[in-house]
Amino acid sequence: MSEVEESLKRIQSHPGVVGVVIVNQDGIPIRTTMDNATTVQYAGLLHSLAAKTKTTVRDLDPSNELMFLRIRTNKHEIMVAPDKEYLLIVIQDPCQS
Amino acid sequence: MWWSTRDSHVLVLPAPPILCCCGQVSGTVLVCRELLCAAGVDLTMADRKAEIDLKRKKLEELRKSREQKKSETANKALLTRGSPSSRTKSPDPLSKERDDVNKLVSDLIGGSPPATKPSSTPSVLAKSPGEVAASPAAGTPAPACKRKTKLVIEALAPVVIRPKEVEVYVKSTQTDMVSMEPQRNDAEDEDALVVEVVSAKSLPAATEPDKDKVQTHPLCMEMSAEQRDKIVASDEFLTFFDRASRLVERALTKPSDILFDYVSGSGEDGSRDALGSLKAVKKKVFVDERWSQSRIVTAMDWSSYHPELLLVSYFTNTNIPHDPDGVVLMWDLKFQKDTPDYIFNCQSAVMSVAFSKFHPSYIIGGTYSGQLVLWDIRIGKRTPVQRSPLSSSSHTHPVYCLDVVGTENAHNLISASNDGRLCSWNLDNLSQPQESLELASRGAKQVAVTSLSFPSNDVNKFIVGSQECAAYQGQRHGSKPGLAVQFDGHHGPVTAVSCHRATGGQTDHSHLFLTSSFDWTVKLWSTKTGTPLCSFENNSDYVYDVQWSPTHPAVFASVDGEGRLDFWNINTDIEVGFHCSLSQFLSPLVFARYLH
Repeated sequence: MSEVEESLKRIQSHPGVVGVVIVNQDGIPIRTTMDNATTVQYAGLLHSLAAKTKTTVRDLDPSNELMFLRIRTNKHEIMVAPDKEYLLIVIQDPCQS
Repeated sequence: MWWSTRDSHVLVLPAPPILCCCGQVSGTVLVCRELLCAAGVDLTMADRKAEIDLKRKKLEELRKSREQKKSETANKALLTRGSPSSRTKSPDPLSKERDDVNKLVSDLIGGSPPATKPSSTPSVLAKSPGEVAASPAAGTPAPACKRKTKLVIEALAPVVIRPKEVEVYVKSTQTDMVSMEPQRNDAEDEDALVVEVVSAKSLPAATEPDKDKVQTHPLCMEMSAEQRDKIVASDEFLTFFDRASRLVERALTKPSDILFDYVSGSGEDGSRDALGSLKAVKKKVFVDERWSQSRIVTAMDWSSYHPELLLVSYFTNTNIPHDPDGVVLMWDLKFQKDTPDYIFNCQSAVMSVAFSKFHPSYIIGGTYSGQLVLWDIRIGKRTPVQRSPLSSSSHTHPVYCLDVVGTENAHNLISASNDGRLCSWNLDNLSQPQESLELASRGAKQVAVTSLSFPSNDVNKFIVGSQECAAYQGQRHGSKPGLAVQFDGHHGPVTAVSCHRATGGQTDHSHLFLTSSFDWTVKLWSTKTGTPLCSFENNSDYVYDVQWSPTHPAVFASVDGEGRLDFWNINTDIEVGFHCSLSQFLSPLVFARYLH
């Protein structure tokens, strides 16, 4: 378990990373490096977005599945690594790296 | 046929049992059945029918006349109101009788019944005799006022009757149903979207960041710290996190700023140098704090399947005694992660490591204890899957050399240890070597092997370098298995040998090999002659490793203890090689088999 914490710390200390959130299948954040308000916001919104993306990919081609989701915005880049049960969300500011 | 004396409107017809209907003025129908026949009258069927028809006709005529009379009397009554006595007597005996009855009743009562709406007066009046007639039968007449009522046209007030109010409840909830359940694995459920309230709850709450989240957010409260820790400790979470963190780390290291604008942003200087192709640029330093810190690199190997994967084995970390002695890390050059992709451990320090050329997921390590260990990448465990036994049939000294030779169908793992033993193994079964060969030099003394090299397409002949300052050529099978030729020339232990790697082409260079040793030199030999062809003496420290370039037949590289990396091009210069200094002390050197 401590390896998980170490890895999280390492990812967090990567240049430009704003925050890391791990969300379970119900949208409840399990581990986070940000404050509660933003965590909950990101968790809820990205959870539903990831679900929608998954169904979209599956509808387009039933043999396909969503592996990684990257949202590049003006200010940040949000990376979502989805899984059957969990979701890893990393928010990075790419200009700083 | 006779009229009922009691009821003036009832007509009785003598006929055998037939249904006889006669219409009353009031509109009701009286049905008489089985009227009495006239005594003694026996009629035949036809006669009866004729009679019946006649009687029916008569009945209808009477009915019509009666109705006419009624309407006449009603009109007369309209004209002469309030004075039923002034009613003219109609010649009709029926109406006469009726008038008499009316007179009688009106005298009794003293007036007509209370005034009703004029529109219904004819019917009322038409009814009234019936009512009046029925009243004796019914019983008590309706008590009316004594005075004579006047029929007045009344103004009708419009009455608005409201429709019955039906209460309708809106059966919707107040929260937004937005979310969807994550996709299930069944193909049948692809189209089903199950709406969950869970994330819907979180959405409206999330739009109010000012409120205290702990209190207004029931979902966060549901999961206590212990539950979270339990989840984090679970196996599924670990596998998920392993995979997801790898993905994310790869994604993080790419400096892709796809939105970079050349027009507005600051122009980047071209970082490429204009120098020649032999310039070596330090691309990346692979260091892992946890595993590779304060450990000496003992061996490296490249993957034949994925040219960007580099396998590095490390020596013991004396600072942390509890850590496992043997550590092998797999680094990824493509994504240039700062962390190793895979980490493997073993009990004894790994002195040599090799990818299995024909198994994409096997990693073999030779350890300090003489054991050979096998890791499987697919399994995901850090400890070895197979271990060779510590027996006298296998190695008992550190295994410095490992090589996988052969073809895909017939390949062997060759290992050489410091006690002069060369073993050949089958990767499926590491419990026993397939064959074992004692490497003894001319003096029947065992050779302390430090390095081993096979020429490009040869499985049988090999070159070994030893601590006895000599290199040997030997063969595994054949008439005389073992060491055959000795190459003396070095003054110090030979640290590395490298056979020429160029394959194909018109000239065969496979007889050439290089050796490096502690005597600060690198020598080029040919297997055909016993003396060195060329000696490269540009170094001032122990030369630890030398390797031919896999592509250029005249280029090789060497490293020494000062931290110098030398690239030699024999075609251009045999005195001086192009070198670059690195700060660290360099020992092993492995050329990439496939240059990017």
